[in-house]
Amino acid sequence: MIKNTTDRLRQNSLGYIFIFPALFVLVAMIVYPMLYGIGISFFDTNLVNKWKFIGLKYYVRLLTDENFGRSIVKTLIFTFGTVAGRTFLGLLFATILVDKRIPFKPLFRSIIVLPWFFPDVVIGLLWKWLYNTNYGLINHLLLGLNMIKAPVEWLSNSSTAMGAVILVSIWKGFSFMVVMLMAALQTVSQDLYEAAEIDGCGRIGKFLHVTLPGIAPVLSTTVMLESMWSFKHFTLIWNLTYGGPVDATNVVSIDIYKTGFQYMRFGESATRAVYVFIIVIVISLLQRKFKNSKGY
Amino acid sequence: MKKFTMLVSLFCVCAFLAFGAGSKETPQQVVKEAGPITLTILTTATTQNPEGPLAQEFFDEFMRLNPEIKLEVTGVPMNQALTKITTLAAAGSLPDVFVNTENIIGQLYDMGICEDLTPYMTKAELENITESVRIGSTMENKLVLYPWYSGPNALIFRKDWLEEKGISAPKTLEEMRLAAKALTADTNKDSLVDRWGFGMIGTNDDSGQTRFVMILRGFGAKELYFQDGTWKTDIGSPASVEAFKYFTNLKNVDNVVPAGALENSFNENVNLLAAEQIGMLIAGSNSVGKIFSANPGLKGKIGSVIVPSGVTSYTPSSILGWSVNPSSKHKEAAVKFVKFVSSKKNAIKWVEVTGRIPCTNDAISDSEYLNTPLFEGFVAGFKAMEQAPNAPYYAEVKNVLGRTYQKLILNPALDATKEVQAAGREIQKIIDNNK
Amino acid sequence: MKKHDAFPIGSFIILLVGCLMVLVPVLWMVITSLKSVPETFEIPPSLIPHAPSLAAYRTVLKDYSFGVFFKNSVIIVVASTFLTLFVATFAGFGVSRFEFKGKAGFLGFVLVTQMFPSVIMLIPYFRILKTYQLINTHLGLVLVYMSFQVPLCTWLMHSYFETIPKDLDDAASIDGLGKFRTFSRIILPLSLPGLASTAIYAFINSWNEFQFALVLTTTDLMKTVPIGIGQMIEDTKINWNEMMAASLLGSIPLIIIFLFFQKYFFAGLTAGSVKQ
Repeated sequence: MIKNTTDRLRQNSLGYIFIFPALFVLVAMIVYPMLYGIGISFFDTNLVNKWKFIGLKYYVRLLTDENFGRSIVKTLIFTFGTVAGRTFLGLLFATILVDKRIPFKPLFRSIIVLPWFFPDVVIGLLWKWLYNTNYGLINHLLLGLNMIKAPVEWLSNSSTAMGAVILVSIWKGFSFMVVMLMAALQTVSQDLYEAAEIDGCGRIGKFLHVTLPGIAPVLSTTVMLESMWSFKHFTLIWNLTYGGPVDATNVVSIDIYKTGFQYMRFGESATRAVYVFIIVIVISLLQRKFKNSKGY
Repeated sequence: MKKFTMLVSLFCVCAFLAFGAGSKETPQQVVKEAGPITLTILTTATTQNPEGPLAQEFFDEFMRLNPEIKLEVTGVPMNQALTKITTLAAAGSLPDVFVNTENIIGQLYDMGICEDLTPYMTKAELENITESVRIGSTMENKLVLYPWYSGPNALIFRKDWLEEKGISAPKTLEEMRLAAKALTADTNKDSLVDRWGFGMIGTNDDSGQTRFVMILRGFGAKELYFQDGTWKTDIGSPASVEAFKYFTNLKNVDNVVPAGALENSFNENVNLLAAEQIGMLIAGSNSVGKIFSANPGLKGKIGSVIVPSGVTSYTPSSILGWSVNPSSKHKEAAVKFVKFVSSKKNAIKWVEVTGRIPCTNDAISDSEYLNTPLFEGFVAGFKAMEQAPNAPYYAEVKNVLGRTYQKLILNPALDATKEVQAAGREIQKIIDNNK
Repeated sequence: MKKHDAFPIGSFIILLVGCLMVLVPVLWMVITSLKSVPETFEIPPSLIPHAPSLAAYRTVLKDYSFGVFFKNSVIIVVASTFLTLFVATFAGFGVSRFEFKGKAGFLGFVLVTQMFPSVIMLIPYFRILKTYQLINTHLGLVLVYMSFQVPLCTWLMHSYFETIPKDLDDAASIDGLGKFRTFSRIILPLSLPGLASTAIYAFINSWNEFQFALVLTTTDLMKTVPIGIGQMIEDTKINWNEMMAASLLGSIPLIIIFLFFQKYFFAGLTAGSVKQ
C-alpha cells in the first residue's frame, strides 16, 4: 500500500500532461474574447471609432436601473423553470428508457431526442407558429377537443407568455438530460438494486438510495451546465417574443443583444454581460457548496 | 495552487497583449499591380427569392463587362446584416461594398464606415436620384448610401371588400378606423368574428415600431427630431397621447384587430392577409408579391393608398442601397459596381421582378407597372418619403414606444396620459445619456 | 422476482405521452414540408396536405446549394467533435485520477469560460481568427467550436470517470499497467457510454450552431447548414415549407449519429464488471 502511495505522488505530475491540450485550446481561443468583453465594459464605445474611457460608470448606472433588475428576475424565473422542467423530464424518461422491460427502446429513444436535432432558430419560429392565436395548431387542437372555448393568446398575454416560452425551452432541451442520464444510469450497478431490494427498499427507496447517489456526479454537472446555459439563453426567446409582451419575457440576454448590436452601445452591453458572468459564477459556487454539503 | 493561478493569469495577459497588438497592425494585403482586383461585397439580395437569382445575373454581367474586376459576394439575411457589418467593421475586415438601409444608416454613419460618394458622381447623376431618396441617403450633406431600390410603406387594402361595402380607400386615420370597423365581420354566421378590418403589428420589433410611428406622426407628434442643435421628443404631448389612444383603441375599443395582436409580427400579418382574414395592412410594395405567392387568388383584389393622415401624413423613407468602405483600396471599382447595379436598365428589371420602386427619375418614368392601380399608394408614399431621425440611438427610442403601446393594449384600464408621459421622460433620458 | 418482469404499464403510458408531445411539433414540420406555399398559409391549417409533394425538398437541394453547406458542416463538425473528445477525455481523466496543484483551479477556469454571454464575444472571436489568419477556413470554425465544447465535455467526461471506482486503477497498477495504459485499456472502455453521450452532445451542438458560423465566415463557400436554413427567413416572409424541409434534411446526420452511438451506451459497462 505504501509503495502504491509513492507511486501515486510520482505520477501525479502526469496530470498536467493530461490537461495540457484542453488548457492550450482554451487559452488560445477563449481567454482573449473574455478579457475583451470585460475590457470594453469600461468604455463608452461602438467598437469602431468611439472609445471613451468611463471607468465604472455603467456598472454604477445599472445597479440603480430598475429595468435591469427586472430583467435579472425574469432571467432567474426562466432559468429555474427551464432547468427544473428539463431535469424532471430527463430523469423520468431516462429511467424509463433504460428499463429492460420496455420494448422498442431504440425507437423510443430516437423519438425522445428528436427536439435536440433542430436548430434553435427553427424551433423558435415553429413554436411561434404553433402558438399563434388565430391559426396556430395548439389553439386549433384545443378548440377541436373542446378544452378551451375561445382562442388563447399564448404569447400576447403577460401571464402566459413566460410559461409558454419556458415550455418551448424545456421541449427543446430535455433530450440532452435524457441522453446524459441514460448514460449515467448504465454505470449504476445492478447488484446494488438487488441489495437494496433485499434490504426491503421500495421503488422510491431504491431511487433515492441507489439511483440518485449513483448518478449524482453526472446529474449535478448537467444541472449546473443547464443553469448556466439557460441564464445566458437568447435565441428561442428572441424568436418567440422579442422579450415581450411589454417586458414579460425580457431576459437579460435580450438586453445585452439590443444594447450592443441594435443601439451600438457595446460598453453598456458588455457591462450587463459582466454582471451576468458574476451572477452565473455565484450560482455555480452556491451549487457546488450545496453539492459538497450533500456529500456527492 | 497560487503558482498555477499566476501562471494562468500570465497566460491571459500575454494572450491579451498579443491579440490587442496583433489586430491593430494587420498585415496589409498585397495588391498585385497587374491582374484582376477582387472586390468584396456584402449583400442581402442573394439570400432571397426572387431577388437572389436576378442579383446573381447582375453580378455575372458586371464581371463579364469588367474582366479586370472579380466580385466576391457574401449573402447575409437582412435581420443579421447590422450584426455582421458591425463585427466586420470592429475587426477591421469590412468588405469594399456593403448593404445599407434607412434602418441602419444612422448607426453605420456614426461608426464612420460610409464613404461620401458625392465626389464620385456627376451633377447629372446626383440630380437623377429622386429627391426624397437623395435626402434619405444623405447624412450631414454627404451621400453615404448609394440607393438601389425603395419599398415604401403604404396602406394596402382588399379592394373587393371595400367596394362591397361601398367605401372608398381611406384617406384619413378616422376613415381608416371606420373602414376597419365596416370590414370586421362574422362571415360564416357562427357568432364569432372571423374577418378583421386592420392587421396590427403589435410586436415590439422594428416593423411594429415603425408602423406605429407613421400613425404617431400623423397626429402631429414626433418621437424624435433635431431642432436648434439638439434632439427633442414630442412624446408626452397631448397629440402623442391621442396617437397612442387611437392605436390601442383599434384593438381594445373598436375591436377591428385579430386576436394575438402583440405576437403578430409582420410575417403573421402577411399570413392573415393571405388567408383572407384581415382587410387592411400597412406594408411595403415588395410584400405584395409575397402575398400573391402565398395566395394567388388575391391578384387584382388588392389596392394601395398612401398612409392615411391625421393632421399630416408620414411615410418614412425606405431605401436599400450600398455604402463604400472608406478604407477600401478599390473605391473606383466599388463605385463602378454600385452604379452598374442601379443603372436604369438594371434598376427597371430589378424593381419589376421584385415589386419595388427605382430610385432614379429616369428609371421611374420608364417603369410602366408603377402606373397600375396596385402601385398608386406606394408611388404616392415614395414621393412623400421623409428621412427618419438618424440619431444612432433611434432604435432605442422606438423600443420605448413599442413597450408603451404593448402596455396600453394589455392593460386598457391604465391612464394613457400618464404612461405616455412616462415614456416621454424615458426617451428624454436616452437623449440626455447620449449627449 | 417475478413481479419485476411484469410489464411496466405505467411507465409505458408515460413514455407514449412523452413521445406524442415530442412528435406532434415534429410531425407538423413534416406535414408542412410536404405542402405547397399557398397551403402553408391556409387558415385553419390543414392537417393533411391536399397534394403532398417533395417540391420543397427539391428546391432546398437544388436552389440553395445545400450540398456545399452540408459538406462544410460535415467537415467542421466531425473534425471539431473528434478533437474535442480527444482533448476533453484526456483532461477529464487527468482531473479525475491525479492529485496535482491547480486541479480545482483548472476545473473552475474551464467552467468560467462558459459563463460569459456569447453575443458579446462575437467580435473578439472574429479578431482572434483574423490574427491567426483563419477567417474563411474550416480550421477556424473547428477551433471556435472546440473552444465552446471542450469545457463542457471535459466536465462531462470528468463526472463519468468519477462514477468509475478508483479501485480499478489500483488493481491495474498492481498488475503493472502504467497510467496511460490503465487509461486506454481499463478506464476508457468502461466509460464508453459517457464518451458516446458526450460525443453526441458535441456533435449536435456544433451542427446546429448558427450565430458564430454566420458572423465568422465572409464567403458563401464557407456557409454551414444552419446558415442555409436561416436564409429561408426572408425580410417579409418565411418560406415555411422549404425551411421545414431543410431542417428535416439537416437533422438526418444527427439521427444517424445518434443511432450509431446509442448502442455504445450499453456496450462498455456491464453491471458485473464494476462490482467491487
